[in-house]
Amino acid sequence: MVIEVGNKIPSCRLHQGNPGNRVDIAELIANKKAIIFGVPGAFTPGCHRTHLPGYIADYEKIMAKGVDIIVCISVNDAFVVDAWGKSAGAENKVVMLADPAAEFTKAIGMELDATPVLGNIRSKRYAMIVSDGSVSYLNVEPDVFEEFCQIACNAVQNGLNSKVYQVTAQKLNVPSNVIKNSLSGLVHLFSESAKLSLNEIDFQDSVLTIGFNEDAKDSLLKTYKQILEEVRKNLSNVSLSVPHYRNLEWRFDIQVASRALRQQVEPRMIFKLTTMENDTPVCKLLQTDTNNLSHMVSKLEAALAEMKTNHCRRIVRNI
Amino acid sequence: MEISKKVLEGLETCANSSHFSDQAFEDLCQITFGVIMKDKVESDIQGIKSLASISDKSILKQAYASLITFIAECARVDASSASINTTLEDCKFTQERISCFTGIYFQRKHQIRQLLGGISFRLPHIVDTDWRMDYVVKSNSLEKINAINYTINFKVEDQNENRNDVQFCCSVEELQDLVWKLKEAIKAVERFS
Repeated sequence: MVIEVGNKIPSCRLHQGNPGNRVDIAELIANKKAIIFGVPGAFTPGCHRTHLPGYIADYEKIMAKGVDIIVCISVNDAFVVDAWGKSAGAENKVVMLADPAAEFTKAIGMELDATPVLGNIRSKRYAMIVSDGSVSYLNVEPDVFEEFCQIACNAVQNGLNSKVYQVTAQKLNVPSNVIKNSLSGLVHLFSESAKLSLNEIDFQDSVLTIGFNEDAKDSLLKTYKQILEEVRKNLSNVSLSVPHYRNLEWRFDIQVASRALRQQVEPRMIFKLTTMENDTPVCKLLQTDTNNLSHMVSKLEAALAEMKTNHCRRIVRNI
Repeated sequence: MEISKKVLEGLETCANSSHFSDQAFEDLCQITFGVIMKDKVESDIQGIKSLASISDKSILKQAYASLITFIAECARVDASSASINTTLEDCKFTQERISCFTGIYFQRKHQIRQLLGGISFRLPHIVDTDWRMDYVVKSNSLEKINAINYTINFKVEDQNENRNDVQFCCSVEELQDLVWKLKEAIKAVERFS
């Protein structure tokens, strides 16, 4: 069960300094205003360079805002967490707690499967403000994979942007080539699936062979459903275009005279037909007389009626 | 009715029995109307005995030219028989010749007016409509399209009677929109008449 604003922090014993020193998180923050933040791993680049140091640096400011205690929780053994805290200068500022079995992390639904990178289940990056034991504010970092899906999503609509590679490559400490290839792969997966209009089951089957884990598969499916409609619309715009009807304006005139002939009474229907050709509207001015007008209408009505014939229905049903 | 002095003079020449006998006058009328209606040609005038016998060709020319102008002008303003009578009487036409002229004139008037009506410019005119219904299966960029697509062709003639078709395609909803708008237009016409 994922924790939400308004929920109470569950009681759970975490390790501080060494495995023997147990601290119950619920007791620790009872009757206090607390900030609890979770990190995927001690000494990992993002956590070590920016996340923890950020809290340490702004410690005075945070305390000035009425916060009583700042707690950092990571799924590591107690020794590592302690050493990390000391190396970052967290003593007397941030309480460093270890959740080695991810007991607390799972209890609040913040577990992150980091097996490929860190070897086991870790914690998502999150931050929450807790007042009197219940969550008043919660912010969770979106899953990296989900972010990738979103980036691929944008890329399908707007094209791949090399700036994005640089930024993501830096964040994850991975060469930008790898990012580029993985994004291209995702983009290809989404656009091919949209082109073939795969339904959910077919999409999941295709993804199965690639070997993603469960969460990844869910993110992929979610993103796919999100962009399916748009991508199909864009693809249909790309395919060969014939002048396509857009609008028809009409005006009923009666010609009363011309230079060559006075005293006329000639009814005339004037049309402005707008068609889209290669994404530009083209307006044509046409006219017709009343006989041709009724003839036109009867022919086009017959065309519409064709749709309801058995022959047409059979084809639509069977293809 | 605007008739220039020259034309009036020419008409007087027509009226003059010394230049044109009754038979000659009648033949001249017939052939002039024929030329206007495009079933005779000016060179046919040589073929008519009574007209060929007239020695002074310039008189024949003058009479023919003014007669043609007069006929066109009458048709243009849709002159009443009263005003035609008055004008011809002023040109010294005898009653016989007047009735001969007006007889043929009113018989042919409608057609002449139609011809004149066609002279002015006009927008490209729709004369016919063709349609085709397709079922779109797939394209090279998109599969499983499965949609019905109509192609409509309007046969359009411009002033010089050159064909200049307008072709476009539309989906079912768009065709319904088009037909609805056209039906509105028809209703407006019917309400008016």
